[in-house]
Amino acid sequence: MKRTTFVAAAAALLFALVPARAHHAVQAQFDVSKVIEKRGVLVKIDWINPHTYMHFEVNEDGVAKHYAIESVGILGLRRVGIDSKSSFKVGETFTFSINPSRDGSATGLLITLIFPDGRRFDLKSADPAAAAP
Amino acid sequence: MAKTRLQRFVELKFVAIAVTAGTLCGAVVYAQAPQAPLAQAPSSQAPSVKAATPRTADGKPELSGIWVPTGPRVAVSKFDEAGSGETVFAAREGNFENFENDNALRRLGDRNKPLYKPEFWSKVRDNDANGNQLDPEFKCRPYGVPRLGAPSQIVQTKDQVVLLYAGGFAGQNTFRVVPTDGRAHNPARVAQETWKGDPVGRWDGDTLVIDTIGFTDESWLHKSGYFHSFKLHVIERLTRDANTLRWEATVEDPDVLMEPWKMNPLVRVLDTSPDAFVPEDLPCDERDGEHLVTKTRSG
Repeated sequence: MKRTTFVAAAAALLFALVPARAHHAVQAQFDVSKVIEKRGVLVKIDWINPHTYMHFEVNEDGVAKHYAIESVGILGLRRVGIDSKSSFKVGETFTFSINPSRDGSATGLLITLIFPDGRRFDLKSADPAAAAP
Repeated sequence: MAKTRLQRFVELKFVAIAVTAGTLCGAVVYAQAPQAPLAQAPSSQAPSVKAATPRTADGKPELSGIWVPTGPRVAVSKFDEAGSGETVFAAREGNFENFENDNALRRLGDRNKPLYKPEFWSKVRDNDANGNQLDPEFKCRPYGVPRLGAPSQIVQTKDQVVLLYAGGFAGQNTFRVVPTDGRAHNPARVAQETWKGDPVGRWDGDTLVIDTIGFTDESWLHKSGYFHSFKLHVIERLTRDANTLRWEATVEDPDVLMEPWKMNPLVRVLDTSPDAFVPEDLPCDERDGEHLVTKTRSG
């Protein structure tokens, strides 16, 4: 029983993680061994394929830095309960964790997103097994 | 002589992955890619009395309906310490890189490959190695036929069958209208050389056979760099058995292939929910290419 739950959780996690098709290897673009957390103001949502994008202004040492954060595809977002673009309000402050870019650009792959009201969504785990109950 | 060269090609393609594949212990990932084979019909609990295949007024199998993938969408198997081989979790070492790598190995390890003429082997290898940039899908181009795979929905009338597709970011809600009234290919349409070509359908017993020619040379047959020429000729077979739909495709291309290639079949099941619908795909806008630092591809 425990194993069944474990398998279901792992499968659900990876289904959420993997877009409808694998666009490219995530590891070719992001450092999946690192997770960094940021807090910033949402300035734009790109509701597009193959990945949705969330743009945040993050205050880093008094300077506003623009981060373009890549998320899983629309299917993955809907699976965790984020149905539409209007689920987000531009101008609100979010906390998010990402796998940072490997090319040094201010981009990243979204792992966890915490809405202003405290709702938390786990979009990706660097370690699928660790997320199992 | 030719056979020796072919054997060498096959060895080149497989020797590396064969070693690694052994360590994967039969890892299987069911991606949603249209070309991904579904190993078996969906139901492991076969009903004692098999449902009859519905038929139209003129006696043909009724193909109309929404057809969805079945089985585990994503499931990786590996042998556990006891060697049971059951599905335990989704990546070797619980490691995300391995999850992607295993997907790629599974794709590359599929022994069902088209046999290209020797002068094109290097092109196929280059396409695959640089697929992150060269694959039409990566640039949000259409899949085209046969890479679209099985349709998401079928609307069947007496003289034509309409196939609707969705679900991939390059699939983008496309359609095909297949006449089944016995007409031949339309030379004007064939000459247009399109991504989906000019299809004509006919019934072979209870199987709908779709014959398509008139393609562009820009689409790929498969993610692994399988290109084709303008001479591409695709023969698809759609067969309904109760609430299961089987899609098969054979690819001919005398300019680049040494023999016809039979693609891995796909199995779909009827979605009987009254709320079932084919979802709308989002517009596709590729932005990652400039940020990729390796050529690593996934499954």
